[in-house]
Amino acid sequence: MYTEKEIAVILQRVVDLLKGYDQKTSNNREAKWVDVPEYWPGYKTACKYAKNIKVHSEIGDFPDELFLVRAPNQTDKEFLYIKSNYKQNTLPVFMDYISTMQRPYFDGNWSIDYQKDKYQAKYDGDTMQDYVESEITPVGSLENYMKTMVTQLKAVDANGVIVVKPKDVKFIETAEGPEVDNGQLFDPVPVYYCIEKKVAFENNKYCLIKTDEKSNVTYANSTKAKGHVFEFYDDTNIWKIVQVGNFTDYKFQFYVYFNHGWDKVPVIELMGVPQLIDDTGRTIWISPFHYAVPSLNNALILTQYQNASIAKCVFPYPVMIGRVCLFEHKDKHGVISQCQGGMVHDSYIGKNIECPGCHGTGLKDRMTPLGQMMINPDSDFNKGENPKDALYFVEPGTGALEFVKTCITQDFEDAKKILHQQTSNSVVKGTENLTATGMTLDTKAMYAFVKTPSDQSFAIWEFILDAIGWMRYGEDYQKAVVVTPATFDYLTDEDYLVQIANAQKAGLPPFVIQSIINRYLQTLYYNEKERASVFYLILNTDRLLVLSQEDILMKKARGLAADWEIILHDSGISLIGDLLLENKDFFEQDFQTQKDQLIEKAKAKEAEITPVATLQQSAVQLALTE
Amino acid sequence: MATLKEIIKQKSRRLQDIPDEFLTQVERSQKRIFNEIVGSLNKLQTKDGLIQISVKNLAVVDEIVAQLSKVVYGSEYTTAVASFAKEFDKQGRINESYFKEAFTDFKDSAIGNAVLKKIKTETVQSLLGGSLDANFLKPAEKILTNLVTSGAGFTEAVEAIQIFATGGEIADGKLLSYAKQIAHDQFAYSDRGYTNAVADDLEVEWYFYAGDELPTSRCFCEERFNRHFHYKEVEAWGRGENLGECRVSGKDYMWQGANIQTNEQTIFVYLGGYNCMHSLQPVSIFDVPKDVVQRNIDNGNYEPTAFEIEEIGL
Repeated sequence: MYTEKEIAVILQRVVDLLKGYDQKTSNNREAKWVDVPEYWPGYKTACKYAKNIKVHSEIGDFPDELFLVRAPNQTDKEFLYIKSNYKQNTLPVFMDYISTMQRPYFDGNWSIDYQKDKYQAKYDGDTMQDYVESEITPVGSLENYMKTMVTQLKAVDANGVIVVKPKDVKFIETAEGPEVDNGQLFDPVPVYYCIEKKVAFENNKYCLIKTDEKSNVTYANSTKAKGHVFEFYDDTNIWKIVQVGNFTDYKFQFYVYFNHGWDKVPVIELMGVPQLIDDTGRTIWISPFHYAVPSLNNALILTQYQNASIAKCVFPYPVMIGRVCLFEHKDKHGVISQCQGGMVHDSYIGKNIECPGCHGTGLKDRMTPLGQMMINPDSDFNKGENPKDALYFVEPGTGALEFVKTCITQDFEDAKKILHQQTSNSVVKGTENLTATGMTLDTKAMYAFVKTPSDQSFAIWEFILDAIGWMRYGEDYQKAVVVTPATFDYLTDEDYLVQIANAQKAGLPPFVIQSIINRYLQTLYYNEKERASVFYLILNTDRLLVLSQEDILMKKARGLAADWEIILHDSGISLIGDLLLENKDFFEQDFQTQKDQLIEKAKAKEAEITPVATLQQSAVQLALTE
Repeated sequence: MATLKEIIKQKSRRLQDIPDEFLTQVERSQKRIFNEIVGSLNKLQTKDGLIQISVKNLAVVDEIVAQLSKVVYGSEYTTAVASFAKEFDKQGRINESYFKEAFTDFKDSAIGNAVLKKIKTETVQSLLGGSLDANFLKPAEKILTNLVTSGAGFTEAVEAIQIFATGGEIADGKLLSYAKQIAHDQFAYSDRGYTNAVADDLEVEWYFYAGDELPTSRCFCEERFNRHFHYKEVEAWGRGENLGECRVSGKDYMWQGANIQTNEQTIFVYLGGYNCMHSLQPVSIFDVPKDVVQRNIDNGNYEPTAFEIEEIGL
């Protein structure tokens, strides 16, 4: 835990650098060209990594520095042309990369057990699972947050951080003043801060974030929302540090926003490939996508130049025999001047000017308004065999453009290869005759490529869960059990059915078959909560689930299966339907109760339908009473 | 009004006829049951005329047994049992009429009726309840299972089922055989049980061994039918005394056909034992031959009153 004094020392280091940066950015219109301070060793490099990737991941900003540095002799006009017609054609590569990085999240590849049954009754309806599946802003569930936001953020900004903090903290009035209402169930959520905001940190000790929030300070004799607001995270508290007073005084007020008492700093980096910065072991992270950036930069730049070249010189240019311009210009004095080599004299202004008729060319266009060239009947071109020589078109060779196109294609392929992106349509030169073995090896290489980011993502997920759990439930938190993916293949429900059939044919142990069935059901019913509950209950209650009909008959013949078990196996869904009709909140009960009730239902059905005993009783009754 | 002799005759005849009629109905229902089983046998998988040893066929066996239960409990067999059960009550009423005629102080016997009802219920339970399951349905299942697990020939299987269901030249069908064990004995027990309960109530001392000599009668009954006895003489038989040539040595039973649970109390119900269709009819001393009375006076079983001595002429 850090004291206010210790935090102030850390803050001062940052503020000393921040002052200079504030001055430069306030004076310079092109503030984005101002280099950020090196708040900590590697900070500027880390920021650059993210900036490099954003060129290919975010729609919008034109990457000025790429084009200025590449062709320093280009004119302003040319630069402006390229900027105005900028096409961000490398975005699809990033989208494919995100799709690849989302493979671990395919249903059936992972699971989380929130230990719902272990929560006390007072948390009914408010367990960890209830909370993380619906209350995580802005996407609703933590699962969505991980799949959509963290995957993308991690790809772009490996040095960014996720912090976990309460959405808001309610205060109650006490004799000592306002105090945090510790009786409330806090609503902690994950929040992303980019690398630029991470202005000071020590792994597992603290993290200082410069937020976008602005405080009111005095600036130029008026109150403006210009003051800096920081957040400081350590293993005990979350501090808010707010600039007050005069902006240029850089005075700050400190207060504890939230006392979490977790013994861990609720901040985790998004991670990537580690890069050592210095001998102290400090590392920064490189996103795996960054390794494709040089190829993508090339492809992007060449594409813009190619487009410009196409506009400039690809289209055919007409060359024709013109007529001498005989335009007569009349100036304000009424003096007439005939066109001489494209110039006429204007006595009013006292100089030669460009002929308005031929625009300085000295020749008249023979094309009619609709594009026909009219040849003079007396012209030599009308007498001989070559009237078409009067007009011809010049087109530049496309060889250079073809070459550029090839370079662009190669750069894209290189980038995709680095990112292990393959599609059925892509044919990388030299791989047309790739064997099945080769493709399998490529798939395995892709899995290896995805494995580390996948492990990191699930580590982040587990970290967020633990942080939320502690902040919300304290000692009552039941640690969620996260099962990380072992495969990154997208298996459809048909694939699972094939697996199940093969497992049964191969005589694999029932528990193996059951685990495949479990994944099959997760895939089929991942978005149907009640159906998933139905099948989960059957999966964990039906002892005969994975046995074939023949095996069941054998067990019955040998007395190893009771009649009620066979009834449960054959009619599980219908029995659960009956239970739901009797109690619509059936699935809200703890799992053991659900199991017990289902078994009782099966036994009751057994008692109803046992034929021999019933027939006997009826027959005896009949004989004795008639 | 029927005479005592006529009533005894009617009773004795019924002890034979009523169970026989029931068994005839059972024999008829056997045929239907056989047809049912044979029809279901066609569901068994066979290859080259042999029943395949397969799990599916075991499942078919279960199916056949289940169907068999429905047929047995829902068919004329159950109706026959119901009719047979009614005859128990009729027999009770005949006995009642006998006692009214023979003993002026007879009143409706609650204990007698209770005994009759109990034996009737036991009989119905035996013919339709768990015992039928154990003695007919389970053996049927066992035979069918064995036919499947041994891979028997289909024709052989049909023959085996036929013998089981309807019997052959030397044996009855299983159902009939089982019903035979119960029908005669239980009917006779209910008749004697009622009689004994009422006799005990009336403190009767003299009995007439009623019934006919039948081809199936054994030594014990042959020696005693149509004769009178004192109750102490009857008790002596239950103790294994005075059996004469009918005694059997070295066995659990005292005479051929004797119920092994026979003793001086139960002799009045079990009498001659299995398939004994005679009854011990209580009689007044004045209907007992003088020599029988004298015999029992001589052996100390009986001490007549002065009135009896004078009336009988002892």
